Parts: sequence; structure tokens; C-alpha cells
Amino acid sequence: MNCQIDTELIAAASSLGPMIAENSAVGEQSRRVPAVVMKAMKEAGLIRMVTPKSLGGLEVDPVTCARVVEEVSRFDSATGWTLQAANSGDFYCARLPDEGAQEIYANGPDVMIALAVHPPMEAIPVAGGYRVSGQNPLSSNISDADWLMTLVQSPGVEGLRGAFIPKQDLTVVDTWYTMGMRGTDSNDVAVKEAFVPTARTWPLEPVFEPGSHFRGPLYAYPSLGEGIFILAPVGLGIATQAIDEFKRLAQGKTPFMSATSLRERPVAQLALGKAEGVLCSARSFFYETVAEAWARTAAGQASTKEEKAKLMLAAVHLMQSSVEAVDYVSTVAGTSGIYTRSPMERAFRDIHTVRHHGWVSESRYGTYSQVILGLEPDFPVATFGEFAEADYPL
Amino acid sequence: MTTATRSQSDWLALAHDLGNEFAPRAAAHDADDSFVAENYDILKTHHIFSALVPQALGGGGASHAHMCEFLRIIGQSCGSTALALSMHMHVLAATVWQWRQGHPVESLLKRIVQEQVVLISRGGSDWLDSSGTAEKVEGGYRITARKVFVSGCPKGDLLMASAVYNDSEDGPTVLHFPIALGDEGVTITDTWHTLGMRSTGSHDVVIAGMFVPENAVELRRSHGPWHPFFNVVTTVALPLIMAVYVGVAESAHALALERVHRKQGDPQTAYLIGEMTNALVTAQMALQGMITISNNYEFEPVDATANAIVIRKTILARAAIATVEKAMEVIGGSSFYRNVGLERLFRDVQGGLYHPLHEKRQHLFTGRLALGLDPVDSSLR
Repeated sequence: MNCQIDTELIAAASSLGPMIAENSAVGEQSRRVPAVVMKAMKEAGLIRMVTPKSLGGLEVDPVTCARVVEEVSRFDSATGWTLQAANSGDFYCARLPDEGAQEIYANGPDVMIALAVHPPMEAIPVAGGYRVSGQNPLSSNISDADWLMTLVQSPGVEGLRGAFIPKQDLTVVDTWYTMGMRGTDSNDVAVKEAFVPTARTWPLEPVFEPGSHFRGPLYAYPSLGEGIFILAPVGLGIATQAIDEFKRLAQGKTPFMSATSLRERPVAQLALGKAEGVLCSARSFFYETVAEAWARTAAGQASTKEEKAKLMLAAVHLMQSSVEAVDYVSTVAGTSGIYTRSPMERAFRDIHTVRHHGWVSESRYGTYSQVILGLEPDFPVATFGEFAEADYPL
Repeated sequence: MTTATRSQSDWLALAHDLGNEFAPRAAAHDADDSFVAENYDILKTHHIFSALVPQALGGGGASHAHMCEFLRIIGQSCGSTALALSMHMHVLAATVWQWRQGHPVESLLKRIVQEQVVLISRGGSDWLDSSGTAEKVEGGYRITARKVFVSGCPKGDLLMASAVYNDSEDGPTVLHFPIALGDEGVTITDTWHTLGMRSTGSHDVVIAGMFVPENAVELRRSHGPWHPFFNVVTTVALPLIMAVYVGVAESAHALALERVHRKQGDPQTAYLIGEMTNALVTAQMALQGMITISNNYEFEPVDATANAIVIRKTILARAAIATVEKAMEVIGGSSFYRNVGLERLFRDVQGGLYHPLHEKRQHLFTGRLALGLDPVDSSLR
């Protein structure tokens, strides 16, 4: 991977690990990342990785972002998810006019933007903007969010717009009772006739003109949003946790019907080897592809549809390989891994929840192939993310 | 008192009625890991615990196949109730098999009819090696053991237990004996907090120095090797147990089709439903195969029979999991929500992997038999 990454930031994330792990059960129980963890991540700069430098952020490269998310997810899946969600909203600010973006960052660079994009909310055009109403599920970090980015549609108008709505206009609906990823606070969010000025909206189109703060190469990265490079590392972190737990278990466990320890049993050895092999190779493919796209973007080159599809493939393959790795080790861990006291049990529930996210679900393998075979992709946003040609950074 | 006799259609109708009664409580029990105690009380009022006892002894006279279907249908509504019940049923089925062979088990069967005694299995956790120790004392043995996966123990009466006795002549010997769960020296601990099947009450049971008289020992066998008795247990038990998982998978399939109207515009949906249905039919075929092999207790209790059963057990477990996974894919993100019910089915169906024989052990068992070897590899012990 030929890319200059911010090793200090990754080390800072790693140093928070023990504290994050210590608070993991609390977050799982309360269904929200504890405030002490959020504060520590802000202080370490992790919440402003994607905020522009001109607005006080770090504007790091995508590889560093992904590595930081991976690192945090190793210690707690929900915190990793929260971190990627907290950084992804900044991408959408790149599509706003300056007036809108500056309003969002008026209180500093550590802005928490929650996303809720389906189904589109209703946006009634009024003087100066829109009146937005609706309720959406799966709005991660909504209780800690300063803003919501949602997709809206006006009656009789084709196409969608993104809209940023401030916290005071939001109502959190307590619905996040789920199998896994419980600490992500992915509750429903409701909006009732909130006024959204036009400057805080943007058209959902493949090509866009970035605001003046967002002309750096990071915002030209071939991706509509976070799905491409910081979502799948959460799965990678979960799988790493599961494998680490399996290694620990294998040292000490003697399975039933056996007089030999788990680590001495061929079936356990095979499972671990396969899990590590599958995960490491998917990880390599992922980071290599993310770095390739970054090198292209930093050099001022736009990515082709096929190159964007390859990025998507790398992300979905990383997530699905993470599922495979967890399944390998959890099956052979046997009944030790089914008790709620075992990290394996939580890793299993979490990976089987996060695997279904639209950006990285198994269906996206098909989306990749559609692009490669010259068909219209069933997930059109997979090929979004280009600056208007004249604005490509040199 | 005798158990009402029923036709096959009566058993199935009763299963559907009971399932409708159990279903509304399933999520709440799952949420707090509580045992389905009131469901057990209802099962008792319908004399379900003696359903398999032959009519000649006053029981319900249900065939083995009838009971598999019964458990499958209950499994559609509450996997935990069905699974816990299957643990009683498989011990009872093995006892009925013994009665048919002329073994002296009539008094137990009649007691089950009269008192609706709930039998508790030590689950697959003991299997060939058993666990715990039996210390020889005058007149019997002192038993010290911790039994895990004791499904249904909160409402259990008789635990069909075992422990290892170091016989000076025969070496380590597994003794099988029943103990009453209410007896002094037997403690149910609160350990069943798990990924799935959370309401089965499968807690650990601790036996602390309990006395078991010599004449209570029903079976003695060498510790470790495959015993012919397991050819019987495997063949009668696994179809009953695995029927539950087919029920869980069927429930997931139905739930996915119920909610799919929201995704009918998606070109992938039909494909996903096809995959899901293929997986479900695979599980159903495997179950039907197991029921055919067990043939209502008319089978040859040899290794080849057990082998045929355990192969189908593995196939069924994987196919049931695949069905529920695909159901989640069909529905999409809303499948994570607990109020939809599918994530509980996903967690519950995983349990199919953990009944003996576990998948890799089954592969080894099957491969070794094919090579003319003993089915259990003692060199790996």
C-alpha cells in the first residue's frame, strides 16, 4: 500500500482502545456509545477526520480514516460504527453552498451529523427553502447528533435532494431494539414541518460542484458517502475481535468428547487458518483498492465507473469476508461462544447485523457485475461522487 | 388416568392451537431469558408429556413421526418451547423403544402418564464421555457433577443423568441413572444467558454428593467409545430435535413472504426468495429422510443407521440457517429489529449446529465408517 498515512492518528485511536473496551458493555446495554468515549474521541481528533482543514478539521486521507475506524472497531463494534457515521456526514457537506456548510460548522469542527436516507422525507417548497416532514429509521448516533442529513423529495418533482436539519427540529423515536450493533443508537428520527433553507440542501446527482472549503482531493474521492471506505472496516474490526477471542479460547479450552485442547485439534487449526486467510486477503484487497483510488484522486484524475465499481467490490468483499471469518471461528468455538459472557457471542450478532447495510450487503457483488457488464446498476449511487470536470483538483 | 388418544390430524390441529397460544409470549420470554413455564403448564393440561407413551399403557399413542410434526409446528411459533419439549420427547422416545424391546421400563412410562412427569436430558453435553464423578459407597454411589444444557430444568422432574466411575477392573465406566430434580443435593443455577433459544431454561445443574442406589443404575458402558445404545438414541432423538429447527426456518420463510410486498419492485427479490425456498425445502427433505429412517422405532440399531441420521442432521442444520439468513436478506434492514421477530429466529436457528454430532465430528464419523474404521477416533481423545 503506497500511501502516506497518518500513523500518529492511528496510534491515538489505538491508545483509546482499553477505555473503549471497558465501556463496551455499558454502550451495549444503554444502546448508545457512552459520553466518556465520545468525549475522548473528540479530544483525539477522531470526529473531525473528514472536516475540512479550513474549518478546523484534519481532512485526512481515506486510508487513514479507514485504519482509524478499523482500529476502534477492534475494541468495540458500536464505537467503530459511531465513528464512521460521525465522519461520513461531513462528505455530504461538500455538496452544499458555502453559506450552508458554514452554518453547520459554526460551532467548530467536531460536528456530529447523523444520516437517515430512506424513505425520502417530504419537502414542500416555500419561500427561501422547504418545509420538511417525515420519519426515517436507522439514524445512527441520532441522540448525539448536532445535525441530521436526510434525503427529501418534493411532490411532483423528479429526483431527490439532501437536506441538513438541526437538532432542535428533530424528534428521536426510541426504536433501536435489535439483534446486534445495539450501542449505535440507530433510532428513528422524526421531523415535522421543519424549515430548511435552500442553502442547506443539495441535489442528489452524480456530479457536483464542491463548496469552497471542500476543494481538497478528499472530497473528490470517488464515493457519494462513507459506504465506500469507512463502513466495511467496522466488519473487519468485529472479525478481528472474534479471531482474537478464538485464539484465547483455543489456548485454554478442552472441547467435550475430547481429551485434547482445542488448539491441538485439526478442525480448530483449519478454522483459524481459513478465517485469517479470508480476512487478511480481503483486507489487503480493500486497502490496496482504497489507496489506488486515493492516488488517482490526489493526482487530479477522475475515476471511471469501473474503478468506482471496484471500490465497491473491495468494500463489500471485506464485509462479507468478515462475516465468513466470524462464522469459521464461532462454529468451532462451540458452545463456549454462545453465552452472552463471551465476546464471540456479541461479535456473531454484530457481524450478522452490519452485513446487511445496503452499501456492503451481498447484493452489491451483483451491482459490481452490472457495472462491469455494461448494465445500469441497481444501486446507482455506487458510481456517484465526481466533481464537475472543471473543478477537479490538480 | 389415561392420555386422550388422537389421530394424526388431531395432533397437528392441537399443535397449531397450542402454537397460536405460545406465539404471543415468545418475544417477551426471549427478551428476559425467562423459561416458558406457563407453556409447560398448558402442555401438561393437554397430557402432551405422555403423548408418545403407547396406548396400551394409557398414553397418547402418538407415533414418532406424529411427534416430529408436532414439534415442527410448535417450533414455528416458539422455538424455545419446542426445543425444551423435544428434550423430554427424545428421552421418552428412547424409553418407548426400550419398552418395545421388552426392557423393564413400563413403570416409568405409566408414571409419566399418571403424573405428567417431565424428563430432563443432560443434553448432548455428556454424550460419550459423560461428566462428573461417581464414587463408590455402600449400597450405591455418591455423585458429584455439573451438568450443562439441561433444557427444561425449571419445570423438570427427572434428570436422566450419568457420571464416570473408575472401576478397578473395567476402568472408567459411565453409569446412567435418573435423579429427581427436587432432591437435596441438586441445584439449578442461573446460567442460561445465550445467543439463542433463550427461553429453554437450559441452565447448569449442580449435583453435590447425591446418593444414587446401585439398583437405580440403568446402564453401564465404557467411557469414550461409541456404544450401540447411541445408535438408538441418535435415531430416535435427532428427528425430534431437528424438527424444531425446520419449524423455525418455516416461520422465517413465511415472515419474509409476508413482508416482501415492500420489495416487489426490486429485481433481486425473486432470486432471493428462490434461494430461501430451496434452502427450506432442503431442510424439510432432510427431516423427512430422518423420519423415514427412524420408521416409528422400526429400525436396525447399527452404526450405519446412526450415520444416515447424523448426515441428514448436519444438512438440515445448515439448510435451516441458510433459510433464515436468506429471509433476512429478503426483508433487508428491518430484519434487525426485534419487534419484527426475524432476528430471534436467526439467533434460535443457530442452535441446530450444537446438538451432537457437531458438524466436523459428523464428517469424521461418516468418513471413518466409510473407511471401515471405528466411527469415533480414539487417538484424538
